Amino acid sequence: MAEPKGYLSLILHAHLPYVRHPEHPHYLEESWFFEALTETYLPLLAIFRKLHDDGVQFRVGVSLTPTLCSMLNDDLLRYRYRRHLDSLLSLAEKEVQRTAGDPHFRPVTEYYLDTLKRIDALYRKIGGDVVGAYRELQEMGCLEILASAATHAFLPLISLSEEAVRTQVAVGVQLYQNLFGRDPQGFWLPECGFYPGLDRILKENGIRYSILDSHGILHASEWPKGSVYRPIESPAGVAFFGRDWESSKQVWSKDEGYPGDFDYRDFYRDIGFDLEYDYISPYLIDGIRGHTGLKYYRITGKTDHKEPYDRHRAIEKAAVHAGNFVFNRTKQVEFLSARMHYPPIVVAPYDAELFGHWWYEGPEWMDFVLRKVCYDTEVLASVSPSDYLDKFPPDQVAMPSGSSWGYKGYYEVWLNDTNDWIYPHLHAAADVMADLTVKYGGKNSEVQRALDQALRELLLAQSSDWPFIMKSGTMVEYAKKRVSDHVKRFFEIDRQIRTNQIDMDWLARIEQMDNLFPNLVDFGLIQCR
Amino acid sequence: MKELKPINAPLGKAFLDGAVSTDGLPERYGRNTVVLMARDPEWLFCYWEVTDSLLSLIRRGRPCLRLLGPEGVVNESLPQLPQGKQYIRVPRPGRYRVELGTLAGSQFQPHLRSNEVTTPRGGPGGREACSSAPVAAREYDLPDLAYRKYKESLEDYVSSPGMNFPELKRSALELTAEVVVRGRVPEGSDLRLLGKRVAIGPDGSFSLRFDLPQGALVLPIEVENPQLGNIFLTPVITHEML
Repeated sequence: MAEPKGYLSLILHAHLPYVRHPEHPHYLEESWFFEALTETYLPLLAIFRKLHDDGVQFRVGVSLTPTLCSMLNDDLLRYRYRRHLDSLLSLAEKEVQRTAGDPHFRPVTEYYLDTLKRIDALYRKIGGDVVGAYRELQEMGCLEILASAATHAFLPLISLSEEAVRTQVAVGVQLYQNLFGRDPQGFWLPECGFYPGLDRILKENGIRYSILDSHGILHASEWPKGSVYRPIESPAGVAFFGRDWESSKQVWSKDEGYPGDFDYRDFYRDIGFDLEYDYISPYLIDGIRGHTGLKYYRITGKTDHKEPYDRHRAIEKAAVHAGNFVFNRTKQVEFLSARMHYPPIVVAPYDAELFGHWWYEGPEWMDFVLRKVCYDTEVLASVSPSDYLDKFPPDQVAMPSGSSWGYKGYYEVWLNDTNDWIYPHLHAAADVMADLTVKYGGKNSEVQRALDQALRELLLAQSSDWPFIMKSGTMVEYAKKRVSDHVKRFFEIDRQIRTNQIDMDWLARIEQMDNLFPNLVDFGLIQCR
Repeated sequence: MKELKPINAPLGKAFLDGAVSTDGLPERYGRNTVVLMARDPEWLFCYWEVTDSLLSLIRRGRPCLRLLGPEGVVNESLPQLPQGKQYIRVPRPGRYRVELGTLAGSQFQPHLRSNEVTTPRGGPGGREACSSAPVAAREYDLPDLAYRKYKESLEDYVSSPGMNFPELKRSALELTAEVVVRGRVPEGSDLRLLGKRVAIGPDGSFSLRFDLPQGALVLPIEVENPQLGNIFLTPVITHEML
């Protein structure tokens, strides 16, 4: 086969904040994780495995963040997911019976039951080890898994303390090494948040490349010769790829993007809201109406009137959209390759949860795209960023510009009137953590346990998800409580260490509550480096 | 200049004495600090806290929060004390710091100095820096063109409109089709289809693919060319079931 004229690198960023509440038997926010497993992580896994089994040559980048991996590997959350999936299967079976005589909805309920049974079978087959199943796909050469920051902190806004950034990166990299048995090539910067100097910390941790939004490259210290279609190398020696805005817009755009097609499943109409309360309440968390995941309508149009979901029609549309996407990438690569000395790379990163959770047909679209790229075109091939670097290392050194992929392209989403109050606390805690480590590190095992837990609390408080939620305006109280709880626990540990009054019972309780990175002690005292 | 405290001063007595807000978070950390953060090319965020002893010193004059940039003082404002926050607009991207101090007449006495921050760049970096690279001049065509396209994308640019078409009517049989529209325009032309700008290849060619459901697809095309004038065409492509 002839060398392609250019390359397509699809990157899926899979992330959820660490939400785990052993103190409550059913916690509403844990359903984010359960829904994403059922609708995104397992369906994508099924599609990647099927592509491999069918002999399709493909490469996709996937970032699995440390918080997500930790939740996927957590025994309590695995138990609760099992319970959630069983309940959903039971509801789906009941729904097939309820709609037995309904020609419009019976096909939809049967489809859901069949799909959930396949998800259940896959989850059982892999023994609940989702991280292990993705690791296997990496070992088979299908995926390239990227590392990410420990708790998805928005790094530019905690960079007042370089140690805070260094700890986020180093813990993320070391967790990756533990989980995937190799060094990461790529590092997903949370929210693509970059500031000059961050490249040096990535380099210290052995990172070869990262991905920025378009203007991170286009506004680099030097005019990028290959625009965003070729990586640049930062002064510290890390390669940076830029997001292609065209492919991004076709998928992301609220108005023009594929997911808004009228044939696709409507996200908002869910039987958790639609059906009789007495019937549905056993499947609701604490009896509060909410999403069950069973949604029977298609988008239909910009109208409240919705028509029943037609799965076949939706999948056909996903195939059409995949054809459109590959066609446009082909034309794009032909256009670009005529102007470049090296084959261009089109880097298309997306939030993984878009595929399946928000855009229900997204995994099938991905399946069609990868098959079409493999079989229907010789103009482009799918690669991971490191594949591309192996063939075409960057030949231009420039410092990328501070940027993010958030609204307006900089840091405003995470720094505005709704959330700026968190930063004095986060900065103060980071300073105190550095001080505690220097003064008390290695004293004795009890103090060490307290220091480890203090670091966990700090890391959890630093998650970019909390200021993001505060800005987005939904579940705000939960986000505020999370920052507040972790900061308070942190300073209580600080007080106990400094006054030599560590309450081991209390410490054990919060170790159970916030049990992220249970082997943190193995990471050593990163702060001391 | 005196009493310029480091930003990472240790926690002071106020926190340890339990000066906490109602939700249990410390209201103050009992230290003298002023912190500056860059939000975007145009805005900075600043927060500060002063202890009682420094507060009494500052209040001997008129408290002042001063922003300093590459060319000196950029902005002065009256800070809320003993703690506060402020968003500050900067005239241009660059490196900035703030000082919290006292104005006595025209004399500014700084007491606290923040960290320095550099705002993110708001536009492309210097082209001249690239001129040393031994590359063919035509390579610069791509970044120029790509950057223009990027800026257009922030407005209303698409390379190929192809979604949210008119709905199909439900029937026993539904068919759909696709149509590829190809063409070519002279150099320097600006092409719009359905009111949106279309990507044009180096030889002036363009190619777009559309879903073609049953019914009529109307494709208004507008070509603007500074030398040859404007052309308007409205092809109608019909997908009809016989």
